[in-house]
Amino acid sequence: MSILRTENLSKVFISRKGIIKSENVVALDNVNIELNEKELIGVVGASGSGKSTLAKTLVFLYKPTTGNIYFGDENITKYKSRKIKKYRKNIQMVFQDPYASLDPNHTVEWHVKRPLILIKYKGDINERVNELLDMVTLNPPEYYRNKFPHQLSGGQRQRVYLARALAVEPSILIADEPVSMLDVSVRIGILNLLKNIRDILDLSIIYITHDLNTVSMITDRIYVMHDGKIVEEGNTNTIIKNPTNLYTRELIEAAPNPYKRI
Amino acid sequence: MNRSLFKNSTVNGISFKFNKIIKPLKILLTNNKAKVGFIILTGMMVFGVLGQFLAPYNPNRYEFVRSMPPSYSHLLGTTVYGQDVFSQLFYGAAPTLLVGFSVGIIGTFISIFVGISAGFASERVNNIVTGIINIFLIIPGVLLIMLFGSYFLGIHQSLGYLPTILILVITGWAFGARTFRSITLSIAKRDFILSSMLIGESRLSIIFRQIIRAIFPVIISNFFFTAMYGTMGLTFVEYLGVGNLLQVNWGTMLYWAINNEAYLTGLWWWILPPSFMISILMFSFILLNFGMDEIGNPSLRRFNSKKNKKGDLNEHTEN
Repeated sequence: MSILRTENLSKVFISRKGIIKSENVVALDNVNIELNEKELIGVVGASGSGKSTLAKTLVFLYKPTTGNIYFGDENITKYKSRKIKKYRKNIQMVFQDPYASLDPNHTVEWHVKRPLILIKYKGDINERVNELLDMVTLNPPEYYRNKFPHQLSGGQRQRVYLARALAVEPSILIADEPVSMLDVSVRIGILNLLKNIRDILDLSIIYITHDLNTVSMITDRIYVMHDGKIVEEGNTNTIIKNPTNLYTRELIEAAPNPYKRI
Repeated sequence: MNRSLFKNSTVNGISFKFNKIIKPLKILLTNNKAKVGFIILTGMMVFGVLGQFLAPYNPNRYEFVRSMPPSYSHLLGTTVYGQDVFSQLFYGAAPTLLVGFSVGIIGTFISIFVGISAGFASERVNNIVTGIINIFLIIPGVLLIMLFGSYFLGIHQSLGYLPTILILVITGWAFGARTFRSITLSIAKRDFILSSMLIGESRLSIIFRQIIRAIFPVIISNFFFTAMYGTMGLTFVEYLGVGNLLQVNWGTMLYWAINNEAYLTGLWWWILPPSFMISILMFSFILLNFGMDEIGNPSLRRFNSKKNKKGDLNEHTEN
C-alpha cells in the first residue's frame, strides 16, 4: 500500500535573462515515484539531476508546476497553507548540510524541544528530549543538551537534526544526501541509524544520494534520475548487478572502488 | 509549603531575567575596545544625569564676568554673555544624550519592523515596502529639518526636542530598514529557517526566535549608528540655528560659540569642550559596535580568555 505517490510530477524554474527574455529550466520531468509503507527507497543521480528539487517539492518548499502528489489516497497537490502545515506533521526532511541546518544561536535542547512544543506533546517534554537524543545515539543526552551547534562535529549535528525531525513523529522521512558532507567513517553510523529508526518507528524513508555505494547498503528499491527524469527503477540488487540503462551503467562505473585504478 | 514553592519560582524567574541581561554584557566586556566604549558611554550617562542636579550655576543666567578664562570658581571659564561654560556643558549633556538615544531606539524599532516584514513577506509586499524605503532614503534629512525649523520660526514658535526627534526618526530609519531587509532576505533562505518552517513554526515565531537572534549584532550596530545620526542631527539643527536657541545642549553651545567667533577671539574654553564631548560620544558608539559581533555569534566568543593569560589558547574558541 503506497503512502506517498507522485503522478507525472514536473517542476519548471523560469530564470529571467533581461526584461522579456527568459529561459525555462526543467528540474523535474514527469516523475513517477511510489513509496510504500515501512519501505526504504533510494533516489540516485548526479548533481543537477533534480534529486533535491524532488525532495523539496515533496515537502512543499517548492510548488509543483504540473502533476499530482498523493498522500495515502488523498490528492494533496492543491493544498493551501493551513493544510500544508498539517501535512508536514507527517513528512519531515533531513538536509544535506548539517552545518547549515541547525540554528547557530540555539542549543541542541532548543532544537529538539521546539517541535515537541509545537505538536503539543502530552508527556514530559524533558524526558522525551533525552529519549530522542538517546535514540539517535547521542550519549549521554545531558552532555549534549546545552551544546551549541558549533561545538559539535558534523556527524553529531546530523544526529541532532535527525532527533529534531523525529520529534515531530512523522510517518515519512526524506533524507536529502544526509551523509555526503560527512566523513566516510561517520557515514556508516548515520546509515545504520536510519535503518534502525525505520525498523523501530515503522517509518518510510526516501534516501536521496549520488553515492551508489551507500544506496546499495540500506535501500530496498532505487530510482535512478538523470536530467529530471526517472531513467530506471526497481529492486536495488538487480539494478546494481544488471543495469539496463546506459546512464545507470556509467554511474556504477564511476562509483569509487578501492581496488580499481584509473 | 505551597507558598515557599511559589516564592522560589518567582525568585528564579527574576534571577533568570537578570542573567539574560548580565550574560551578554559580560561577553561584550571581554572585548577591550567595547569595554572602553562601554565605560565612556556609562560615564557620559552618569555625567548627564548628575548634570541635571549638580550643575554649579544656573546655565541660563548671564551674571558673571564676561569671557573669563578657566579658574577655580569657573572650571571652564565663562562665555561672551557671562554664562558659566561648565554648567552649560554639565546641564546640556542629558538632552543631547536623550535625543540621540530616543532617535536610535525609535528609528531602530521602525527599521526592524519594516525591514524584517519586507524581507520575510511575499515578493509583492517586499517590492512595495522596498519602494517606500527607497522614497524615504532619498529624503534629505537636514533640508527637511531646516524646512520645518523655518516654518516653526515663521509661526513664531521654536522647534522643541520632540519635533526634532520626530523629524530625525522620519529621515533616519530608512537606511537601517534597507539593511535589515537584505539580511533577512538572505537568512530566510537558509536551511535552518526552512527546517523551522517544516517543523511547523509560525512566521512570527521564526522572526522573534530566530531571525532577530541572527541579526542581533546588526540591530545593535544599527542602533548605535542611528543614535549617532540623532546626536549629530540635533547638533546640526541647533548649530544651524533653526532649533530653539534658548535650550541648553551641546548643539546650541556650539551655535553660540561659533556665532560669536569664539575661535577667533581666543575663547577656546567655550568651543573646545562641547566639540570634544560630542566626538568622545561618537567614539564610544563606534567602539561599542566592535564588541557586538561576539554577542550575536556564539562561535566567535572566546572562552576563559582571562584564566590562561599566558597561553596561546586565548585565540581559540572553546571547540
